[in-house]
Amino acid sequence: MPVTLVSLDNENYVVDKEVAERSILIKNMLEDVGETDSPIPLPNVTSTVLKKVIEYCEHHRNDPIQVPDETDDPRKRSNDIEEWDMKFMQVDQEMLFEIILAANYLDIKPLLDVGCKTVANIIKGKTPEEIRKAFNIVNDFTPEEEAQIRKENEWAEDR
Amino acid sequence: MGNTQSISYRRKKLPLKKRHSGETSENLVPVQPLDGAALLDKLPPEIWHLVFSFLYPSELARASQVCQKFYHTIFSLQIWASIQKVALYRDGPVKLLANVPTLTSYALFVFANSLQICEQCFRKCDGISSTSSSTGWRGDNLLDFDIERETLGLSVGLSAMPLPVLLPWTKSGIRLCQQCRRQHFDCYPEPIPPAFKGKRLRRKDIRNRLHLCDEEILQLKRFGCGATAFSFCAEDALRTARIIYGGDVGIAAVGSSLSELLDRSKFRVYAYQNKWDILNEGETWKCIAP
Repeated sequence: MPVTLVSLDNENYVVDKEVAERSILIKNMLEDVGETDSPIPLPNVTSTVLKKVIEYCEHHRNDPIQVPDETDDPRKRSNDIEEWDMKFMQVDQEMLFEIILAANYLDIKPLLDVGCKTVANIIKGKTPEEIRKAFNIVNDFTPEEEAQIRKENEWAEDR
Repeated sequence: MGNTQSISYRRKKLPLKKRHSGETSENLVPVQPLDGAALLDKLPPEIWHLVFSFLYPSELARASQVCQKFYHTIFSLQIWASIQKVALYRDGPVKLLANVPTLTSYALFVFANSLQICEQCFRKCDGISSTSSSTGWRGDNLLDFDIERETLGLSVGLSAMPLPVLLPWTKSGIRLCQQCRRQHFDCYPEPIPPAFKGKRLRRKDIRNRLHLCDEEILQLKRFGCGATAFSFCAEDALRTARIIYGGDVGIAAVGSSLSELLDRSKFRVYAYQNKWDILNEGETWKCIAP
Protein backbone atom coordinates (compact mmCIF):
# COMPACT_ATOMS: atom_id res chain seq x y z
CA MET A 1 0.00 0.00 0.00
CA PRO A 2 1.42 3.38 -0.92
CA VAL A 3 1.95 6.11 1.63
CA THR A 4 1.80 9.84 0.99
CA LEU A 5 4.49 12.00 2.56
CA VAL A 6 4.12 15.76 2.72
CA SER A 7 7.15 18.01 2.91
CA LEU A 8 7.48 21.30 4.76
CA ASP A 9 6.72 23.19 1.57
CA ASN A 10 3.62 21.09 0.93
CA GLU A 11 4.88 18.84 -1.81
CA ASN A 12 3.30 15.39 -1.85
CA TYR A 13 5.32 12.26 -2.44
CA VAL A 14 3.69 8.87 -2.88
CA VAL A 15 5.97 6.00 -1.96
CA ASP A 16 5.61 2.31 -1.17
CA LYS A 17 5.03 1.54 2.46
CA GLU A 18 8.15 -0.58 2.45
CA VAL A 19 10.18 2.40 1.32
CA ALA A 20 8.61 4.80 3.82
CA GLU A 21 9.24 2.35 6.64
CA ARG A 22 12.98 2.68 6.22
CA SER A 23 12.24 5.62 8.48
CA ILE A 24 11.61 4.31 11.97
CA LEU A 25 9.70 7.48 12.76
CA ILE A 26 7.24 6.83 9.93
CA LYS A 27 7.15 3.10 10.68
CA ASN A 28 6.13 3.80 14.28
CA MET A 29 3.59 6.37 13.14
CA LEU A 30 1.99 3.90 10.74
CA GLU A 31 1.91 1.25 13.44
CA ASP A 32 0.20 3.63 15.83
CA VAL A 33 -2.34 4.84 13.32
CA GLY A 34 -2.97 1.55 11.58
CA GLU A 35 -4.19 1.37 7.99
CA THR A 36 -4.69 4.90 6.79
CA ASP A 37 -4.90 6.87 3.59
CA SER A 38 -4.22 10.20 5.18
CA PRO A 39 -0.95 11.81 4.18
CA ILE A 40 1.89 12.01 6.68
CA PRO A 41 3.15 15.52 7.26
CA LEU A 42 6.90 15.91 7.73
CA PRO A 43 7.12 19.53 8.83
CA ASN A 44 10.89 19.40 9.34
CA VAL A 45 11.91 18.34 5.87
CA THR A 46 11.93 20.42 2.72
CA SER A 47 10.99 18.87 -0.60
CA THR A 48 14.53 19.01 -1.98
CA VAL A 49 15.83 17.05 1.00
CA LEU A 50 12.85 14.71 1.17
CA LYS A 51 13.30 13.80 -2.47
CA LYS A 52 16.91 12.92 -1.78
CA VAL A 53 15.98 10.87 1.29
CA ILE A 54 13.31 8.97 -0.65
CA GLU A 55 15.90 8.22 -3.33
CA TYR A 56 18.06 6.66 -0.63
CA CYS A 57 15.20 4.66 0.85
CA GLU A 58 14.14 3.41 -2.59
CA HIS A 59 17.64 2.13 -3.24
CA HIS A 60 17.91 0.48 0.15
CA ARG A 61 14.33 -0.81 0.34
CA ASN A 62 15.40 -4.44 0.59
CA ASP A 63 18.34 -4.03 2.95
CA PRO A 64 18.18 -6.19 6.05
CA ILE A 65 17.59 -4.25 9.25
CA GLN A 66 20.94 -3.32 10.76
CA VAL A 67 21.68 -4.95 14.05
CA PRO A 68 23.92 -2.58 15.95
CA ASP A 69 26.99 -4.41 17.14
CA GLU A 70 28.19 -2.72 20.30
CA THR A 71 31.61 -4.32 20.10
CA ASP A 72 32.62 -3.07 16.68
CA ASP A 73 34.84 -0.03 16.46
CA PRO A 74 33.20 2.84 14.58
CA ARG A 75 36.66 4.12 13.66
CA LYS A 76 37.26 1.01 11.59
CA ARG A 77 33.96 1.39 9.78
CA SER A 78 34.61 4.93 8.71
CA ASN A 79 35.63 4.02 5.16
CA ASP A 80 33.08 1.27 4.87
CA ILE A 81 30.71 3.11 2.53
CA GLU A 82 29.01 1.44 -0.41
CA GLU A 83 29.82 2.86 -3.80
CA TRP A 84 26.25 3.89 -4.44
CA ASP A 85 26.09 5.66 -1.08
CA MET A 86 29.36 7.41 -1.78
CA LYS A 87 27.98 8.83 -5.02
CA PHE A 88 24.71 9.66 -3.29
CA MET A 89 26.62 11.70 -0.74
CA GLN A 90 28.43 13.78 -3.35
CA VAL A 91 26.39 16.87 -2.71
CA ASP A 92 27.27 20.31 -1.47
CA GLN A 93 27.83 20.66 2.24
CA GLU A 94 24.59 22.41 2.98
CA MET A 95 22.69 19.51 1.42
CA LEU A 96 24.90 16.99 3.20
CA PHE A 97 24.08 18.57 6.56
CA GLU A 98 20.38 18.75 5.64
CA ILE A 99 20.36 15.06 4.80
CA ILE A 100 22.00 14.23 8.12
CA LEU A 101 19.41 16.31 9.98
CA ALA A 102 16.54 14.70 8.08
CA ALA A 103 17.96 11.21 8.69
CA ASN A 104 18.18 12.03 12.37
CA TYR A 105 14.63 13.38 12.52
CA LEU A 106 13.16 10.56 10.45
CA ASP A 107 15.27 8.05 12.37
CA ILE A 108 16.97 6.35 9.43
CA LYS A 109 20.06 5.02 11.19
CA PRO A 110 22.05 3.79 8.17
CA LEU A 111 21.61 7.12 6.38
CA LEU A 112 22.58 9.06 9.50
CA ASP A 113 25.60 6.81 9.79
CA VAL A 114 26.75 7.26 6.22
CA GLY A 115 26.22 11.02 6.44
CA CYS A 116 28.31 11.34 9.60
CA LYS A 117 31.02 9.12 8.12
CA THR A 118 31.14 11.43 5.11
CA VAL A 119 31.69 14.45 7.36
CA ALA A 120 34.30 12.53 9.40
CA ASN A 121 36.14 11.62 6.20
CA ILE A 122 36.31 15.28 5.22
CA ILE A 123 38.06 15.98 8.54
CA LYS A 124 40.49 13.06 8.31
CA GLY A 125 44.12 13.61 7.46
CA LYS A 126 43.74 17.38 7.31
CA THR A 127 45.58 20.03 9.26
CA PRO A 128 43.39 22.44 11.26
CA GLU A 129 43.84 25.04 8.53
CA GLU A 130 42.77 22.58 5.84
CA ILE A 131 39.72 21.60 7.87
CA ARG A 132 38.78 25.27 8.18
CA LYS A 133 39.05 25.63 4.44
CA ALA A 134 37.01 22.50 3.80
CA PHE A 135 34.09 23.78 5.89
CA ASN A 136 34.63 27.47 5.31
CA ILE A 137 35.17 27.99 9.04
CA VAL A 138 36.74 31.13 10.46
CA ASN A 139 39.50 30.71 13.01
CA ASP A 140 37.87 32.32 16.05
CA PHE A 141 40.70 31.77 18.53
CA THR A 142 42.72 34.71 19.76
CA PRO A 143 46.46 34.40 19.07
CA GLU A 144 47.05 33.65 22.79
CA GLU A 145 44.43 30.94 22.79
CA GLU A 146 45.87 29.43 19.68
CA ALA A 147 49.36 29.38 21.15
CA GLN A 148 48.11 27.70 24.29
CA ILE A 149 46.09 25.10 22.42
CA ARG A 150 49.08 24.27 20.29
CA LYS A 151 51.18 23.81 23.41
CA GLU A 152 48.66 21.55 25.09
CA ASN A 153 48.02 19.70 21.95
CA GLU A 154 51.37 18.61 20.62
CA TRP A 155 49.73 15.31 19.79
CA ALA A 156 48.46 16.81 16.62
CA GLU A 157 52.01 17.62 15.56
CA ASP A 158 53.54 14.23 16.40
CA ARG A 159 53.54 12.91 12.90
CA MET B 1 18.64 -0.95 20.87
CA GLY B 2 15.23 -0.08 22.14
CA ASN B 3 16.22 3.51 21.82
CA THR B 4 13.91 4.46 19.04
CA GLN B 5 13.63 7.94 20.36
CA SER B 6 15.23 10.20 17.89
CA ILE B 7 17.58 12.98 18.80
CA SER B 8 15.75 16.24 18.89
CA TYR B 9 15.71 18.02 15.62
CA ARG B 10 16.89 21.53 16.07
CA ARG B 11 16.48 23.79 13.23
CA LYS B 12 17.30 27.39 12.93
CA LYS B 13 14.87 29.54 11.13
CA LEU B 14 16.39 29.21 7.75
CA PRO B 15 15.34 31.53 5.03
CA LEU B 16 13.25 29.36 2.78
CA LYS B 17 15.34 29.70 -0.28
CA LYS B 18 13.65 28.65 -3.42
CA ARG B 19 15.88 25.81 -4.47
CA HIS B 20 16.22 24.49 -7.94
CA SER B 21 14.61 21.14 -8.08
CA GLY B 22 15.56 18.24 -10.25
CA GLU B 23 19.04 18.09 -11.69
CA THR B 24 21.36 16.41 -9.27
CA SER B 25 24.26 18.00 -11.07
CA GLU B 26 23.11 21.23 -9.50
CA ASN B 27 23.85 19.75 -6.11
CA LEU B 28 27.42 18.91 -6.96
CA VAL B 29 28.42 22.53 -7.23
CA PRO B 30 28.71 24.26 -3.89
CA VAL B 31 26.64 27.27 -4.73
CA GLN B 32 27.04 30.08 -2.25
CA PRO B 33 28.27 28.11 0.72
CA LEU B 34 26.90 29.01 4.10
CA ASP B 35 29.42 30.71 6.25
CA GLY B 36 31.18 28.08 8.31
CA ALA B 37 29.81 28.90 11.73
CA ALA B 38 26.23 28.69 10.51
CA LEU B 39 27.01 25.40 8.89
CA LEU B 40 28.50 23.94 12.08
CA ASP B 41 25.65 25.24 14.20
CA LYS B 42 23.20 23.47 11.96
CA LEU B 43 24.07 20.14 13.49
CA PRO B 44 23.27 19.61 17.17
CA PRO B 45 26.07 18.41 19.48
CA GLU B 46 24.71 14.84 19.51
CA ILE B 47 25.34 14.59 15.79
CA TRP B 48 28.83 16.05 16.10
CA HIS B 49 29.49 13.41 18.75
CA LEU B 50 28.48 10.78 16.21
CA VAL B 51 30.74 12.34 13.56
CA PHE B 52 33.66 12.43 16.01
CA SER B 53 33.08 8.79 16.99
CA PHE B 54 34.59 7.90 13.60
CA LEU B 55 37.87 9.64 14.42
CA TYR B 56 40.91 8.45 16.36
CA PRO B 57 42.23 10.47 19.31
CA SER B 58 45.03 12.08 17.30
CA GLU B 59 42.55 13.06 14.58
CA LEU B 60 40.34 14.58 17.27
CA ALA B 61 43.32 16.40 18.74
CA ARG B 62 43.96 17.99 15.40
CA ALA B 63 40.32 18.87 14.78
CA SER B 64 40.07 20.53 18.20
CA GLN B 65 42.39 23.26 16.92
CA VAL B 66 39.99 24.31 14.20
CA CYS B 67 37.63 26.64 16.07
CA GLN B 68 35.91 27.22 19.41
CA LYS B 69 32.96 25.06 18.47
CA PHE B 70 35.11 22.03 17.60
CA TYR B 71 37.32 22.65 20.62
CA HIS B 72 34.46 22.60 23.08
CA THR B 73 32.64 19.73 21.46
CA ILE B 74 35.75 17.56 21.27
CA PHE B 75 36.85 18.38 24.81
CA SER B 76 33.48 17.21 26.10
CA LEU B 77 33.64 13.78 24.49
CA GLN B 78 33.40 10.72 26.73
CA ILE B 79 36.33 9.12 24.91
CA TRP B 80 38.81 11.00 27.14
CA ALA B 81 37.28 9.41 30.23
CA SER B 82 37.49 5.98 28.60
CA ILE B 83 41.11 6.45 27.63
CA GLN B 84 42.29 7.71 30.98
CA LYS B 85 40.49 4.81 32.64
CA VAL B 86 42.34 2.23 30.54
CA ALA B 87 45.66 3.99 30.09
CA LEU B 88 46.36 5.69 33.33
CA TYR B 89 44.81 3.56 36.05
CA ARG B 90 48.22 2.38 37.20
CA ASP B 91 49.37 5.93 37.81
CA GLY B 92 46.54 6.49 40.26
CA PRO B 93 43.66 8.92 39.80
CA VAL B 94 44.24 11.83 37.45
CA LYS B 95 44.86 15.06 39.32
CA LEU B 96 41.92 17.05 38.03
CA LEU B 97 42.54 20.67 37.20
CA ALA B 98 40.73 23.11 39.45
CA ASN B 99 37.75 24.92 37.92
CA VAL B 100 38.06 23.03 34.66
CA PRO B 101 35.42 20.59 33.39
CA THR B 102 36.37 17.02 34.32
CA LEU B 103 36.40 15.77 30.74
CA THR B 104 38.66 18.66 29.73
CA SER B 105 41.08 17.68 32.49
CA TYR B 106 41.04 14.09 31.30
CA ALA B 107 41.58 15.17 27.73
CA LEU B 108 44.55 17.37 28.63
CA PHE B 109 46.10 14.62 30.71
CA VAL B 110 45.60 12.10 27.92
CA PHE B 111 47.14 14.59 25.48
CA ALA B 112 50.15 14.90 27.77
CA ASN B 113 50.64 11.12 27.69
CA SER B 114 49.84 10.72 24.00
CA LEU B 115 53.25 9.44 22.92
CA GLN B 116 52.80 6.38 25.10
CA ILE B 117 49.13 5.62 24.54
CA CYS B 118 47.88 3.20 21.88
CA GLU B 119 45.04 4.84 19.97
CA GLN B 120 43.40 1.48 19.36
CA CYS B 121 43.40 -0.33 22.72
CA PHE B 122 44.12 2.82 24.81
CA ARG B 123 46.77 1.05 26.88
CA LYS B 124 49.78 3.01 27.98
CA CYS B 125 53.17 1.53 27.16
CA ASP B 126 55.99 2.31 29.52
CA GLY B 127 58.57 0.95 27.17
CA ILE B 128 61.65 -1.02 27.76
CA SER B 129 65.21 -0.46 26.71
CA SER B 130 68.68 -1.35 27.78
CA THR B 131 68.73 1.90 29.67
CA SER B 132 65.46 1.19 31.44
CA SER B 133 67.10 0.36 34.74
CA SER B 134 68.90 3.65 34.84
CA THR B 135 65.92 5.78 33.90
CA GLY B 136 63.62 3.84 36.13
CA TRP B 137 61.12 3.24 33.37
CA ARG B 138 60.06 -0.34 33.17
CA GLY B 139 56.66 -1.41 31.98
CA ASP B 140 54.70 -4.21 33.51
CA ASN B 141 52.66 -4.60 30.37
CA LEU B 142 55.46 -6.12 28.38
CA LEU B 143 55.09 -9.43 26.70
CA ASP B 144 57.29 -12.28 27.85
CA PHE B 145 59.22 -12.43 24.64
CA ASP B 146 60.16 -8.76 24.83
CA ILE B 147 61.87 -9.48 28.12
CA GLU B 148 63.35 -12.61 26.61
CA ARG B 149 64.78 -10.57 23.75
CA GLU B 150 66.30 -8.14 26.20
CA THR B 151 68.11 -10.98 27.92
CA LEU B 152 69.30 -12.11 24.49
CA GLY B 153 70.90 -8.73 24.14
CA LEU B 154 68.46 -7.52 21.49
CA SER B 155 67.24 -4.12 22.50
CA VAL B 156 63.58 -3.99 21.56
CA GLY B 157 63.70 -0.25 22.10
CA LEU B 158 61.10 1.87 20.41
CA SER B 159 59.45 -1.08 18.69
CA ALA B 160 57.62 -1.87 21.92
CA MET B 161 56.06 1.59 21.92
CA PRO B 162 52.99 2.82 20.06
CA LEU B 163 54.15 3.80 16.57
CA PRO B 164 52.24 5.66 13.84
CA VAL B 165 50.70 3.35 11.26
CA LEU B 166 48.67 4.44 8.26
CA LEU B 167 45.47 2.38 8.34
CA PRO B 168 43.34 1.69 5.26
CA TRP B 169 40.61 3.91 6.75
CA THR B 170 42.82 6.78 7.90
CA LYS B 171 44.75 9.43 6.08
CA SER B 172 47.33 10.02 8.80
CA GLY B 173 49.41 7.73 10.98
CA ILE B 174 47.63 6.34 14.04
CA ARG B 175 49.80 5.37 17.00
CA LEU B 176 49.37 1.64 17.66
CA CYS B 177 51.09 -0.48 20.29
CA GLN B 178 53.04 -3.55 19.27
CA GLN B 179 50.16 -5.92 19.92
CA CYS B 180 47.63 -3.85 18.02
CA ARG B 181 50.08 -3.55 15.13
CA ARG B 182 50.43 -7.32 15.04
CA GLN B 183 46.68 -7.77 14.97
CA HIS B 184 46.29 -5.14 12.32
CA PHE B 185 48.96 -6.49 9.98
CA ASP B 186 47.56 -9.97 10.51
CA CYS B 187 44.35 -8.77 8.84
CA TYR B 188 46.05 -6.40 6.40
CA PRO B 189 49.46 -7.88 5.56
CA GLU B 190 52.09 -5.52 4.23
CA PRO B 191 53.23 -6.39 0.70
CA ILE B 192 56.58 -8.15 0.30
CA PRO B 193 59.00 -5.68 -1.31
CA PRO B 194 60.87 -6.82 -4.46
CA ALA B 195 64.15 -6.86 -2.52
CA PHE B 196 62.78 -9.81 -0.53
CA LYS B 197 60.67 -11.63 -3.12
CA GLY B 198 62.25 -14.98 -3.91
CA LYS B 199 65.55 -13.78 -2.42
CA ARG B 200 67.84 -15.41 0.08
CA LEU B 201 69.50 -13.93 3.12
CA ARG B 202 72.38 -15.02 5.25
CA ARG B 203 72.12 -15.52 8.93
CA LYS B 204 74.25 -12.50 9.69
CA ASP B 205 72.09 -10.22 7.55
CA ILE B 206 68.92 -11.52 9.09
CA ARG B 207 70.31 -10.86 12.52
CA ASN B 208 71.41 -7.33 11.65
CA ARG B 209 68.62 -6.16 9.42
CA LEU B 210 65.59 -8.00 10.77
CA HIS B 211 66.73 -8.50 14.36
CA LEU B 212 65.86 -12.16 14.61
CA CYS B 213 67.70 -14.33 17.10
CA ASP B 214 69.42 -17.59 16.16
CA GLU B 215 66.62 -19.73 17.43
CA GLU B 216 64.14 -17.97 15.20
CA ILE B 217 66.47 -18.02 12.23
CA LEU B 218 66.89 -21.78 12.48
CA GLN B 219 63.16 -22.20 12.04
CA LEU B 220 63.12 -20.37 8.73
CA LYS B 221 62.97 -22.10 5.38
CA ARG B 222 66.58 -22.59 4.29
CA PHE B 223 68.51 -23.24 1.13
CA GLY B 224 71.79 -24.97 0.55
CA CYS B 225 73.65 -27.23 2.87
CA GLY B 226 77.04 -28.67 3.46
CA ALA B 227 79.95 -26.51 2.48
CA THR B 228 77.85 -23.57 1.24
CA ALA B 229 76.84 -21.35 4.06
CA PHE B 230 73.22 -21.70 4.93
CA SER B 231 71.04 -19.12 3.37
CA PHE B 232 67.47 -18.54 4.37
CA CYS B 233 64.29 -17.53 2.64
CA ALA B 234 64.22 -13.74 2.84
CA GLU B 235 60.46 -13.55 2.53
CA ASP B 236 60.04 -15.96 5.38
CA ALA B 237 62.48 -14.01 7.52
CA LEU B 238 60.72 -10.72 6.84
CA ARG B 239 57.35 -12.20 7.66
CA THR B 240 58.64 -13.57 10.96
CA ALA B 241 60.24 -10.26 11.93
CA ARG B 242 57.07 -8.37 11.05
CA ILE B 243 55.04 -10.61 13.32
CA ILE B 244 57.50 -10.25 16.17
CA TYR B 245 58.00 -6.48 16.02
CA GLY B 246 54.62 -5.46 14.69
CA GLY B 247 55.19 -4.60 11.05
CA ASP B 248 57.93 -2.78 9.18
CA VAL B 249 57.57 0.28 11.37
CA GLY B 250 58.34 -1.96 14.37
CA ILE B 251 61.36 -3.57 12.73
CA ALA B 252 62.73 -0.14 11.86
CA ALA B 253 62.36 0.98 15.47
CA VAL B 254 64.25 -1.93 17.02
CA GLY B 255 67.22 -0.73 18.95
CA SER B 256 66.41 2.98 18.62
CA SER B 257 66.72 4.79 21.85
CA LEU B 258 63.63 5.20 23.94
CA SER B 259 64.96 7.94 26.11
CA GLU B 260 64.24 10.77 23.67
CA LEU B 261 60.58 9.79 23.44
CA LEU B 262 60.23 9.19 27.15
CA ASP B 263 61.86 12.54 27.90
CA ARG B 264 59.41 14.34 25.66
CA SER B 265 56.58 12.48 27.30
CA LYS B 266 57.79 13.28 30.80
CA PHE B 267 58.15 16.91 29.87
CA ARG B 268 54.53 17.07 28.72
CA VAL B 269 53.25 15.40 31.86
CA TYR B 270 55.35 17.85 33.85
CA ALA B 271 53.66 20.73 32.00
CA TYR B 272 50.29 19.33 33.02
CA GLN B 273 51.39 19.09 36.66
CA ASN B 274 52.59 22.63 36.41
CA LYS B 275 49.22 23.79 35.16
CA TRP B 276 47.62 21.88 38.03
CA ASP B 277 49.80 23.70 40.55
CA ILE B 278 49.04 27.09 39.06
CA LEU B 279 45.30 26.53 38.91
CA ASN B 280 45.30 25.17 42.42
CA GLU B 281 46.89 28.34 43.67
CA GLY B 282 43.83 30.19 42.55
CA GLU B 283 44.88 31.25 39.11
CA THR B 284 41.92 31.13 36.78
CA TRP B 285 41.67 29.04 33.63
CA LYS B 286 42.84 31.56 31.10
CA CYS B 287 42.06 29.75 27.98
CA ILE B 288 38.92 29.12 25.99
CA ALA B 289 36.15 29.69 28.47
CA PRO B 290 33.10 27.79 27.31
